Amino acid sequence: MLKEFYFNKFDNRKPYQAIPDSKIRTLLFQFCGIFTIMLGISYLNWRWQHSLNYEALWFSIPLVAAETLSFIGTVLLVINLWANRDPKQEPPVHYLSDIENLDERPDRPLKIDVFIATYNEDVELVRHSIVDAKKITYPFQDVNIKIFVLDDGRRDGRDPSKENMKTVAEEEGVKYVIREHNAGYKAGNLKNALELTSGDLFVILDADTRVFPEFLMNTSGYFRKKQVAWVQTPQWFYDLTEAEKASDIIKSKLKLSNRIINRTVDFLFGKVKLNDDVFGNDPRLFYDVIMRRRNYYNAAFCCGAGSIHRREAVMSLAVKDFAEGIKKLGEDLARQHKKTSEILEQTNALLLSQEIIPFKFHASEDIYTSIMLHADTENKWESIHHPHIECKMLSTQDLDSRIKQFSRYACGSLDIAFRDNPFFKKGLSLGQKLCYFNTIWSYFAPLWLIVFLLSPIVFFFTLVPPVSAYNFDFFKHFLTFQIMNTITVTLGCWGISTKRGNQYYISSFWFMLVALFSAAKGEKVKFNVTPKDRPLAKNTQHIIPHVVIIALTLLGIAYNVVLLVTGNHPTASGFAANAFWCLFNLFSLSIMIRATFYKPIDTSQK
Amino acid sequence: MDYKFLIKPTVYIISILASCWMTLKIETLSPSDFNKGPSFVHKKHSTHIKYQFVSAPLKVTYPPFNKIYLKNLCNAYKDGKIDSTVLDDELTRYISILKNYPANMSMQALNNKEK
Repeated sequence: MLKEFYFNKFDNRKPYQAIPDSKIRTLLFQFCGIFTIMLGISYLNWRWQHSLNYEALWFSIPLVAAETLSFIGTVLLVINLWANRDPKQEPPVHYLSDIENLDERPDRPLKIDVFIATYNEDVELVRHSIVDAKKITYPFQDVNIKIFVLDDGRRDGRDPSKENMKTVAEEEGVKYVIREHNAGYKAGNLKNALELTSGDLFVILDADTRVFPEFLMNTSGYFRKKQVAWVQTPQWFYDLTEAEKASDIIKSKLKLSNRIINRTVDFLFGKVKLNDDVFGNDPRLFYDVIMRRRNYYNAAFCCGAGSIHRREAVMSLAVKDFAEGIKKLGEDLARQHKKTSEILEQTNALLLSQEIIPFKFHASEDIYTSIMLHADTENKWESIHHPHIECKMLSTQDLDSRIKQFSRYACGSLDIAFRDNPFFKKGLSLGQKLCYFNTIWSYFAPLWLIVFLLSPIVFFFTLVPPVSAYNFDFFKHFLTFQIMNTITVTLGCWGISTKRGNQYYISSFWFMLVALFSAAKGEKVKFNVTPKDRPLAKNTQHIIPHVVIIALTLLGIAYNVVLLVTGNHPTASGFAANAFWCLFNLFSLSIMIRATFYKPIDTSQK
Repeated sequence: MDYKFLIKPTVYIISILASCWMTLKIETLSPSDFNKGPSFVHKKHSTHIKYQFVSAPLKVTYPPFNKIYLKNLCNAYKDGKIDSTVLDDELTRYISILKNYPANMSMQALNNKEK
């Protein structure tokens, strides 16, 4: 009998279907994309040349610079979403010759390993993943499919205070792998497993990843193409918070019991729904739109869980890195005019001590390894983003965990930007460079978001406009660009809602800013394991910057309303523009506060 | 012969040209342009009463050739009361009138003449 968890009630949820491709929609998006870029150039040209407030350049220049940086992101997004090319699904592979050129080697049925990486998760939660992995079906009986639990928590019974993961693995009849240290975190854990196993293909799953039985049937066929290094499937979180009726929230918070009042509340707020995916976890936009469209440029990157890899690809990269490390040392020593014997001695020592590392030891090991594989001009590795959902996972269940997870992604990506920027990486095609740069550029967003959030506040309290005039010319340029941009994004996202994504993009400015400073200082990125259970405590520290900005904005609006009413406001159109802008900011920032104090309605009391 | 391969480049070129044309058209747009174009609502020989919406004309409260007039004009533009087209027209008018006066006439004299 499996242990009951909070997510058991969501077990019957069905995944979304990948949106079918449409050529007409793509052409329409491309037209709108070009038009948006033209309008953006026209707007920025007007902003820089005709709209600067020369009496307040301290205010005017940062705003227009922020708008320019933001526009670069818009252009990169249009490039990313330019076209769709779904990969052709092939029947499952059977023999080694289906995926490799044997060159006189004897042929044999394939070996496939399934890795379930775990660290400190509840062992019974991991059992769910093992049970589902055991249900994987494959049409060929002689293909050897092995399941391995990779336990980086060393829960093999030596420490009685810890749960026993080894026992669970033995009970389920799967292999159990541990190591005596945690070097390289998840990447190190996978490296250790690859050293001990021999599968031609291997699947990476997290402790909470529950694969569907058809996972291998639907993904292994892509490896018929010899250049395919990995296939990533969309990560689907099946435990996202459900939308709640606003009337139910009000009744629950105020503990209303009067029937008439309850009916009135139902009548007034019954149609309004709130708190769907309150933590902004839903990755559909990322997988079904951004990653899927990257197949066009061969730039879809690996996201870890729910992916299947060709062993040869990651191992060839590891060996290449190893050889380059030795070569580099030899060249460095030769440049220092060291004796040949000394060079040989040191390179030999390195040969013995250096390890072969298939996945880069990095906080963002998935994206970093993907960049390295795509940049391998010798093997010309390709990646596939499979559009259909083949597994389900758990999302973060509180804001604290969500922020930690997000900060790790941000720190990891920014670290790559500062150390080994893909834009300047040799071997990547222009399309790949632009797609990777798009991912990294989005983490530089606090540079312009902070200006966008503070500008209306500065205007409200100083009454200094950042533009020369809030006149027809301003609205003509600004509104046409913004409206066209919204149409383009809606078309590009194929109608998938961007509301929550936008809210979290803006309200994550503070955490992205902290990550940016940390990466710029060269601080080592910490690898945080994302918790998979529901916490009890609420951390309100995260929302202090948001509360301060919201308070200042509301205070500024109140002050300006007083000035307007008394006839002392110098520019009413300026107030209107900034107030409208503020509403959008407030709407975005408020999600963090709602998420902090979110508590699902107890339906059992109904 | 199959000419399908021409579809995409053609669409892209048309998209670029159309986008450029529309962007440039928007660039020249000003409130003074509204209601100048043909209307679907009002036919030429209609017997119905015609309703026409016109933008409020600029009220020049100060006599021309006055420094305050120019200042007022700039402030009106800055506050969004007039757009760049109206500003341009007013300045052109100002300069053209100025050109009709003898070159050696001082600003002070011009102002006095206006008064």
